[in-house]
Amino acid sequence: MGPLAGQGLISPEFDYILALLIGIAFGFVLEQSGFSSAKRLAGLFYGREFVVLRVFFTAAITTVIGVILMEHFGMLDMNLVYIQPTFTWSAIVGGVIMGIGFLFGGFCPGTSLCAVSIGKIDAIFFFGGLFIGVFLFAEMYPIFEPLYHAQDLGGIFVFDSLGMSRGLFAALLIVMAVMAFVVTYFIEQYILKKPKQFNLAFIKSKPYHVAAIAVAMVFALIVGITPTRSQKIMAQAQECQQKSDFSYMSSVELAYKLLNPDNQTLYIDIRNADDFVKLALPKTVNIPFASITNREWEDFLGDATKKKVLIAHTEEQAQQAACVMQQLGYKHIQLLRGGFSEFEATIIKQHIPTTGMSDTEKTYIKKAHTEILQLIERNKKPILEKKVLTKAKGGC
Amino acid sequence: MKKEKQEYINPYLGGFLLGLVLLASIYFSGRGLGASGAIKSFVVSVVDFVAPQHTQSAEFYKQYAGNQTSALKSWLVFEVIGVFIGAFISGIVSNRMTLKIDKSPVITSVRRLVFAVIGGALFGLGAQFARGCTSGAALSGMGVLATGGFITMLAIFGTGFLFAFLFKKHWVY
Repeated sequence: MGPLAGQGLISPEFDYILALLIGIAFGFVLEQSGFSSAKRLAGLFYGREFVVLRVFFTAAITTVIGVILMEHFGMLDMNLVYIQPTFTWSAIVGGVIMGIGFLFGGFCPGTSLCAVSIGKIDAIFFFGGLFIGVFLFAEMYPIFEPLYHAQDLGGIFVFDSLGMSRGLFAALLIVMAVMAFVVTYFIEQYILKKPKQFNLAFIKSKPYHVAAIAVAMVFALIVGITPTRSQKIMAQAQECQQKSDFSYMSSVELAYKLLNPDNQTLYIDIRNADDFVKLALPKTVNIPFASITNREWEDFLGDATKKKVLIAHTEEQAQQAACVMQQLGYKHIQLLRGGFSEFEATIIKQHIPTTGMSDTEKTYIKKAHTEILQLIERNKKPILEKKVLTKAKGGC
Repeated sequence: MKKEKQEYINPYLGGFLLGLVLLASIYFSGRGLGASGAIKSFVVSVVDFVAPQHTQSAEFYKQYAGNQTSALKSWLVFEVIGVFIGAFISGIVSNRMTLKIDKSPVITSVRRLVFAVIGGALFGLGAQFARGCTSGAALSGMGVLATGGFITMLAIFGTGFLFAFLFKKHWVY
């Protein structure tokens, strides 16, 4: 499952070799597409050349579809892929400056390098200018810094920003791209009167266009119909919840265990990260329910020598998670009876139930209460044991 | 006699291949393509070499310089070296190697080169704000559906169309 480098499946040295190979392919494709000519690039802004729009849009939708497919089939964990953070104002200002730079120079950095390597002297000057620009930014950074960091939205996705699903956004993007292709085709044919690249009866002349569309539609259908890996696991888990009987641990027992830890048990808090940060029990590890299927936890949860105690808000949630974990093949799972809420009530807030509890238990709760609160206080930063999976650092 | 220059490939095919390259980058290395980041690494390294005290005190350089590993040993630097090699190979196989100034006949060479330097400087500056250039922010950002990628893409091309009339004689010929 990708990305390979983030999971340590590729050594850092080999990652550099890959970078070189990917770069070679990138440069080759850019040059073959005609991106080494400033006239062809800047011609877009005058409605004369549409090569940039076509290549750019086709590449973008290919990638969007590819990412969705790879994620759907469990080949890619997007949590480990670098998602460029969005700083609204900085992105706009940077884009505007680059747009003007484009008009001045006729290149962008990647394309200028391609043009440099085939001997365009104008591109060499543009490329040199890039260093001046970066240097200026670096030297004037104290002035730019407030704008550079204004309105940090983090690594957000455009479909979330627009309040729609990813699938819908991808579909709209494809429709927009195809419309742009059609419009530019007509501009070329009827306004610029360029020689035809392919006529409307292109089904005969260009069978691979039709084939490509057909393949894309089949893939879209597969994604639409088949559930994703995590959906599948969640669905099976629901079935299991009704029939399985699990082993349980009471709040008092958990309190005792937390105060007398052994190395044979993992305490896994599956509440969401916000709740966990607010109040985390000592010795617990937070794996939010939604991310329990992530492969990054495979080694940690898959350790068959250890018992796993699940702490959820309620018992039902813990059952769900236990079912999911069973599906994933994780063993020795125990649930906290009554969930975190009961633990919080009895141990932390000391609302001791009047019935159903022995006197020894009641005395123990009082003792545990103080000690656990002390531990919580000391442990404000809960330890998050995690297999080292590094999110790729990216950025241009 | 020189061989005739070869035509460029179909733009849709080019775009598809470019998308596959970007996907490979995401799948293997967990990141998109880029270009301007390598230039940043280079600038940081040079400034660090020339004026190490400066890189230790100035806010911008502090983030990058002074690490154990050289700033030049970064993924993007290797990728950008690859871009140079790849385009070079492409230029040779398609017989497009030249040594010339590409310019509109109505402007002088000096003007073309001065404008190219200004354009490059603006691009270098803008790419820092946008946290990436056309490839790193706009294309790679769009590919993974990052909001910032779309904003930057719209800003670059929107501005380009808006002010294109000022530069018409440079590009329409």
